[in-house]
Amino acid sequence: MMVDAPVLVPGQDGTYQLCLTGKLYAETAPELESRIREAVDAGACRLVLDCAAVDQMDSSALSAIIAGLRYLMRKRRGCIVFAAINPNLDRVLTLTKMKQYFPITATVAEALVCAAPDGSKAGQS
Amino acid sequence: MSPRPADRAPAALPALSDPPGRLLRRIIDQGADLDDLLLHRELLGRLIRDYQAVAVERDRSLRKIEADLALARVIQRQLLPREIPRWPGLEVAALYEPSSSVGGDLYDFFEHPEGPGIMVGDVSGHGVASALLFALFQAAARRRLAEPGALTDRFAALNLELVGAFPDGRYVSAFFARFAPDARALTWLKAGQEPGYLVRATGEVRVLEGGGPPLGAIDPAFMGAPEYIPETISLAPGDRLFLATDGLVEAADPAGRQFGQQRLVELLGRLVAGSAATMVESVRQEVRQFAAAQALADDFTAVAVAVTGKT
Repeated sequence: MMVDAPVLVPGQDGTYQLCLTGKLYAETAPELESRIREAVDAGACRLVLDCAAVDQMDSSALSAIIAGLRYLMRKRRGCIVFAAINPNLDRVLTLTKMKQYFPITATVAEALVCAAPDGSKAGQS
Repeated sequence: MSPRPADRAPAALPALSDPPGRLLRRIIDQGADLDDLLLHRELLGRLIRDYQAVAVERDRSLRKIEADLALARVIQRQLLPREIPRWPGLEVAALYEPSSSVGGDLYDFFEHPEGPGIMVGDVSGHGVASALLFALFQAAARRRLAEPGALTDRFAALNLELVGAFPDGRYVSAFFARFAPDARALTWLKAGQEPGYLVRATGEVRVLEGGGPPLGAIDPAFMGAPEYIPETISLAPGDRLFLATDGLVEAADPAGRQFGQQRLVELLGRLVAGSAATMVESVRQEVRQFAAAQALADDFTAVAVAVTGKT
């Protein structure tokens, strides 16, 4: 299965969006972590992961995202939001108790609103 | 007519990694016709030899990687306990179902003054790195869980140690179960792992949830201290505890459907007779049958403990 490279979209006020596709597995995890670090280095304090086109995520990919969050938290206070996740991703985030560390929104639009400076914090699903 | 190759310096000798199609395109773009191509025989012959050399080298590298992975698989298997413990009032069985890759599944047994304990876990990721982290985790868990104090504090200390020892973001999801010395109670702590299943003698299945995030994932210095809260439940003879890693419920059939938690709960509810060994073997057979000829994408580990009431 072909997987597009993650596309990083800089936004305003430190909100960045990372569009992901396909399966987030060991093969794609290093690039995923690089894109997150890139966003943080560019000044992102809120990163929205657009997961609308993501089928599955394994522990390697989750590790990469946790590593990205830790990198962000060391640099500045901020958050990584999971947007538009399917039941497979929901299961992984529930099992690993990661919903308390990653806000989750039903849509990307909601994530962008919630992640906006005046929206303080994205809601939990 | 384009100049003969002899008239031209072979400055455009292609790089070894260029696909053959592009090389031919380049030669033709340089103005060669079919006659010229024939005269490029020496160049083409050299290219073919170069490609063969690359293929041989790649084949050798691949075999070396495969040999390394096979060795990692052997080392990982040897880190698992060689013997199943014999504990009063309990009967224990364990299985490790390997997949095509080197996974990070583990199980371990502990003998503590508070009672015997079992850990089933999974190191994030696959490959040689996971096997190395597995070894590191096993040593840390054996040491930390043997320390005195509340289970909550021991898990917090283990998390902190792994945060410092593991590369950023790598973690171990684990389920720890401890039996009272008289086997009349079970205390469990789930750290980002699949739930445990307590199968009563009646066939009722209770899903054991709760707990905290995986070990090594959350750095308390920047993200707040993760909470690891254990829970306790009473046991009776005939009860069974079943623990497994995610490779079990995520095992896929040829159509891509997953085995799933509901199928597992229904299966466990039917396995009320027989030993703990029968339970793990029945689950293994059911998963193999479900996956049919499909190779498992992920390894899985399962441990079953039956409360016998016999001391």
